[in-house]
Amino acid sequence: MSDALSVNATMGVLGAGVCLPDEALASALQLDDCALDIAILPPMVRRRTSLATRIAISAASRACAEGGGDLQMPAIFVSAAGEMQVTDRLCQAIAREALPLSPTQFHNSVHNSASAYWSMATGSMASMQAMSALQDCFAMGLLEAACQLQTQAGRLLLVVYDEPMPADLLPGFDWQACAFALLLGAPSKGLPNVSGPFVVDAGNAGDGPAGLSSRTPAMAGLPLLQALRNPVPGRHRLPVTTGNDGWTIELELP
Amino acid sequence: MTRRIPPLPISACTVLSACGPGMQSLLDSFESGQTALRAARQFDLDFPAFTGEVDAALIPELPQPLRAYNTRNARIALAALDHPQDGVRAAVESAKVRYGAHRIGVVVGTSTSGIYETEQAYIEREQTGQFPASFDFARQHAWVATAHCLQQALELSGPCYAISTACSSSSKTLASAQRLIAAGVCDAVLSGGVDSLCRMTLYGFKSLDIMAETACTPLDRDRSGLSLGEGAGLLLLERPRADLDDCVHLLGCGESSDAHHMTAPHPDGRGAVLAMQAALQQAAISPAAVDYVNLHATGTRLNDLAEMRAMRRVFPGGVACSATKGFTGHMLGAAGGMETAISWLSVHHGLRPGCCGLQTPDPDFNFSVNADYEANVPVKVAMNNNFGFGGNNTSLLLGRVHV
Repeated sequence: MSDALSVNATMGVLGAGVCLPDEALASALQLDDCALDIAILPPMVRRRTSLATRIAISAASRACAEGGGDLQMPAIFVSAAGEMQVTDRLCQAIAREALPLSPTQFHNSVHNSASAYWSMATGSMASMQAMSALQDCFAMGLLEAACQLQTQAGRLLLVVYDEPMPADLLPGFDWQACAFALLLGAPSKGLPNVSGPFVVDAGNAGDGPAGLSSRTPAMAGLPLLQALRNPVPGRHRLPVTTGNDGWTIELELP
Repeated sequence: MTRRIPPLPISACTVLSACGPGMQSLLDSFESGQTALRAARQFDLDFPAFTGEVDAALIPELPQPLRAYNTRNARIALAALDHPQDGVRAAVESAKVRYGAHRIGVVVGTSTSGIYETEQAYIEREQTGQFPASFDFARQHAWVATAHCLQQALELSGPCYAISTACSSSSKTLASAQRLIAAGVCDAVLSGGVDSLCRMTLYGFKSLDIMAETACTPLDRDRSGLSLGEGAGLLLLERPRADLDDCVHLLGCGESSDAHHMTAPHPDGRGAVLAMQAALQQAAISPAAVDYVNLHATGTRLNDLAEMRAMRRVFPGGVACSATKGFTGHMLGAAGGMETAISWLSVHHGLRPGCCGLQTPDPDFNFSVNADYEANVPVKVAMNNNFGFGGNNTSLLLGRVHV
């Protein structure tokens, strides 16, 4: 047994957005307003960007629309495998010696594609983070968000997203396109407030992908999103990982 | 309430690159002024290119229980960790005894992770119809694979994640590490970056038409593009402690975006200016107090020009600065780790590296650069710049707290 691991911070949720392009899935999860919404992207960019980037930007736009206010703020984008579909196409081109590579595909394969397109679309010159932590993407994204807000007051955007994996890369895994975004700031009485993330036994937090579950990592955000959509006043303990390492948050709903 | 971020000691640091293993390899390269870039050998490319390949011996395969992580990226990471003189592993072990495994984070930058092995797997699938049995996406290709491998090699249980923002990836890990410590989540964080050469980056940069045909010559009037390198730069950042007061400290971090273009920098280096100013502001240091700047300077025409325009804005009175990618090649996701380590060396030893390969500084810069190596110079504060695709910018300040 190891000691608990946590950040001593509470953040207010100023806005939240989801994007689940599969309508049947969205309806099964009782989440509405989940369609793609990339109006913020210039038409040329809309056609060229991946599903991963489009769902991330859809969720981000929705969270910002709900929260209102200036878009000039830091953003943290977290995804387990990021731009895996375009990476798959590049790897196939390499394997078949179909060279030269497409320059557009190459620059769209970087993990910070979604954050870069967001920064260009919004004109935000603030810090753009692009992280990954497999099943702990949401937990580590929240931790990064809490640390950023502890050291730099203001608001920030946290976006967690995954697109389906190309065939054969993770046998038995059926990741579905899923993105959600949270506009976070200082805690306030009238807002949903999130404390954490916490893990009770840090000894489990260091097992890497040993306990990798086949669930889409970004779906770790759905319990929180569902709780925000159907608010029950009071304190709620919610998981923020698809792994078995026990990362949770405490959500306080007014 | 914004918490004031204290300077944080870097208790150990190491590098591995084409220049060789360990910090001493950099000192030797700076002294000799010789590039480690050679005509590409690891890959049979259909175009001329020079690369900075790691020639140092790497363990052929990882010991259990790390075997599934077996990639060139992970082997480079472990070779760096285990460099005996630089002692990063020993410093982590000692922090672990002092603070506990759960109080030590691992935040690693990479732009390639194990994609070299993924390419091999795709080539094999093309021939046999199947990925090789050894291919393990989660432990090899996933962005966080190398961070997980280091975390398990060190038996740590604190927060662990990867940052991948192209060429600024590993300098951003220092900023995250700083915040994890300042917010009280961690007492020490292993940060930095690891990248390994692969066909994706070689053919990718070729497709963008920004690769030099011979060894890159950043800042030169006749520069013709970048040369890719590989390797690692790892740094252990700790909370302030009296017995670490003499260490070089991380004084401030600045991060910004250009909000301009996916591959081209803002022509005036607008985002670069913001990142440098943010670092100076966080550290409460005036530009005149900076003694050396390790430039991002990749050797492409646009990047170098935009960065030097930004330098003119931030340092109107000039500042000693140089580019070191002519020695190592552009290590992409590990560039920030490598060049933060170079800034550490600059402060620790009082030196300023020269610009390897520089013949005629570009007169368009209208800004003086340090062509030659200088030893025994007082460097109290050094800055490290890294700017990546998508206009992702970082600037870090390193220095002494007691002078």
